[in-house]
Amino acid sequence: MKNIFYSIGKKLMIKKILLIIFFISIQKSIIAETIYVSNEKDHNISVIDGSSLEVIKTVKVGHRPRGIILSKDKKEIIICTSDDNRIAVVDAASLEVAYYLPSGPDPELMVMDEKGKFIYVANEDDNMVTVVDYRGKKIVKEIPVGVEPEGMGLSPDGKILVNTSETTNMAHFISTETLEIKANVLVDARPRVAQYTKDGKFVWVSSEIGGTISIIDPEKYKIIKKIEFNIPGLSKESIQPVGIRLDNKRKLAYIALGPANRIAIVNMNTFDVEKYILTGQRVWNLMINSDGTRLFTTNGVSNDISVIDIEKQKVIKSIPVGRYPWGVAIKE
Amino acid sequence: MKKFFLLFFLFCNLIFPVKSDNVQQIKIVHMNRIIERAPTIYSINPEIKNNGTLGSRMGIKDNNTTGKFTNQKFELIEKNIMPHESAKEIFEEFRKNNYKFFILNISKDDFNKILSSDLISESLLINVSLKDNDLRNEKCNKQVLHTAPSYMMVTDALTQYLKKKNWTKLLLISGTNERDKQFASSIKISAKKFGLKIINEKIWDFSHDFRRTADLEIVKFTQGEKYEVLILADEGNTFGDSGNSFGDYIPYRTWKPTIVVGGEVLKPTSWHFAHEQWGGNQMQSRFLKNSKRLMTNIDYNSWVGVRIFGEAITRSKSLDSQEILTQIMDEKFKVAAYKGKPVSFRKWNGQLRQPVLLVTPRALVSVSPQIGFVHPKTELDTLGIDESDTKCKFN
Repeated sequence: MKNIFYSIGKKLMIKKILLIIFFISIQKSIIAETIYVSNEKDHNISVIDGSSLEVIKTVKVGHRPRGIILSKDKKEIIICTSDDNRIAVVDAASLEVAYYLPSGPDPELMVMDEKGKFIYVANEDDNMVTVVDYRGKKIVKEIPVGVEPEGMGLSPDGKILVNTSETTNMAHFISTETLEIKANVLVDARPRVAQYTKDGKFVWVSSEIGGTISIIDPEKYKIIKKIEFNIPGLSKESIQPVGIRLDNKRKLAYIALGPANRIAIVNMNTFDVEKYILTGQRVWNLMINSDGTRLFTTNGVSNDISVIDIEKQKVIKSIPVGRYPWGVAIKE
Repeated sequence: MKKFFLLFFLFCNLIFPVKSDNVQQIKIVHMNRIIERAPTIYSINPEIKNNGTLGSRMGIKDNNTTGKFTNQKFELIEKNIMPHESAKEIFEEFRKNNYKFFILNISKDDFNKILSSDLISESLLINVSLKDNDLRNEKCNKQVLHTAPSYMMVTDALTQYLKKKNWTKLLLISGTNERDKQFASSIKISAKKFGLKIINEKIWDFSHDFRRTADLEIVKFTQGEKYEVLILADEGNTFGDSGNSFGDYIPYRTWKPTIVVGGEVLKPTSWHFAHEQWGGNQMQSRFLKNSKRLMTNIDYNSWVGVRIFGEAITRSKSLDSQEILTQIMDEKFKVAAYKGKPVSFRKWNGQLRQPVLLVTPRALVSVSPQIGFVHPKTELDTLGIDESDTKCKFN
């Protein structure tokens, strides 16, 4: 009898402990998340606490901060300061600029390889992609590309870098081994962002002025599908796709539509637009958090970011940040 | 297996090969009318050197960056037409040598004469400086495109802004030259279109220098008039030289405190160096680096023109002018031109539809079309001559 009570008690105890652990872990995962937003006109980044969704600090980083990423160990925040012609590296713990990296002129967007060895930087004013050795703090190579290089998408195996050039209207496929262009695919006007699907089978490229998303087969260098957007009451010209985020399950894609002030949720298998969600004004860049529950958007004209609950497909909060919020990075 | 290789080979040709020897050569002619500059009121107002040509040069550079990947080489032929030379004769000389693509920064008289040439067919002309409405209406030609906005476009852009501010009672002061008159007649149509009222119209025909007495003359000139905004029809004394005008002497000298628009005071135009939105700053800094001076509206119109030739030729891969024109006029043909909205052509008169900037000499004030002016097809068509009003008939 005693034994039974004991075992029931033990079971309850275990349940309780498990519950406590569960709640702690949930809370921990929310508390631990930090969001970094670059403010193009304010020369700083806003640091946002992921649980309270409030700005906890702004950090001066240099002139015209745009592209923003995290180092692989999440200990450093790396920011293109375009008008300073260099990259600022901020220590994530002290939130102070630790050092600078060379970048070539007017760095705009960048991507880091999986091993955290190289940063590939688009030099908008210089028609170049610059390869920077992150730990060695030096420029390794400059690759000439089209006019106003912008989007940078790295294949999951790290072998191919896709760079878009805004005025040349091309997606350049660059081998990261030889650092030479393998192929060029002509897309619609003013391509902005390039993103590989998780399985590496497709590349999604947004054309801001063309108003379309081109889905490219990176084996054949061919556009297999173009997605267009129609929003009742809005003229075609105001629908300007820029930011692209693809979920890890290859189910849904999130596209920021610029001055249409909306993001589109696109089914990645049928390529149909499932829903438009109203955000702040001139929504450009997007980031999904690590557990895939929230999407953050930068809204350049309303000077805020929208927080979207991915499951409910709803904006749950707008957070005012600096002027012209441009890029967003998230640390879990 | 053979078939496979053959298919593979064909496929490889379809995508752009990185290196190849058979480069397609494209020559674009930029014709530039040289004027004898009239004595300016401002001796500090310097003449802009190579106005337009530098825009075309940058367009060629941009086209060639794309051309590097598509195996196309663009070349600019620059031709200045001296005061005693005939634009038509020079044009015909180029046509006889089979040049097809022209950027024209020439006077109205030059343009009319070229339009009468028998050699115009199979060529494509882009007008980068003339705003004349008749070139988009009765005198339109299917071989001619306009990247310069028309008078109707710029006056619509200005009046939309005034309407938005609810400044609707206007006093119109017009200069006496042909361009001033065209601006004045356009502003009257715009005012009617958007519900503004021209209370009175006065002609500025004084001919002497006002450097000493301007403050007194203009007080009397505007005394007793009941208006909210004073609007100037002041397009400059000489073609291509808007620096030489009377309008700068009006502000701050009126009878009552007055907002002055038009002329160089608040000017509706296609481009200005203070414009930096929508990637504009990239364009400005690229131009400054290449050209060592700030970018003018004529530079911009020329750049757009050369880029349009480039885009159409890159996409059509053809040098046949008819095919290129079909490509340009296609509804899907849109060009990124740093104005926040794609620019494209109106199929009814060959006019580039584009946002129009409202600028002061040193700053950007607003960009039209203003929010709230709607159109069934595109808001851009609230500026200028719409399809239902066109008097253009292409033969």
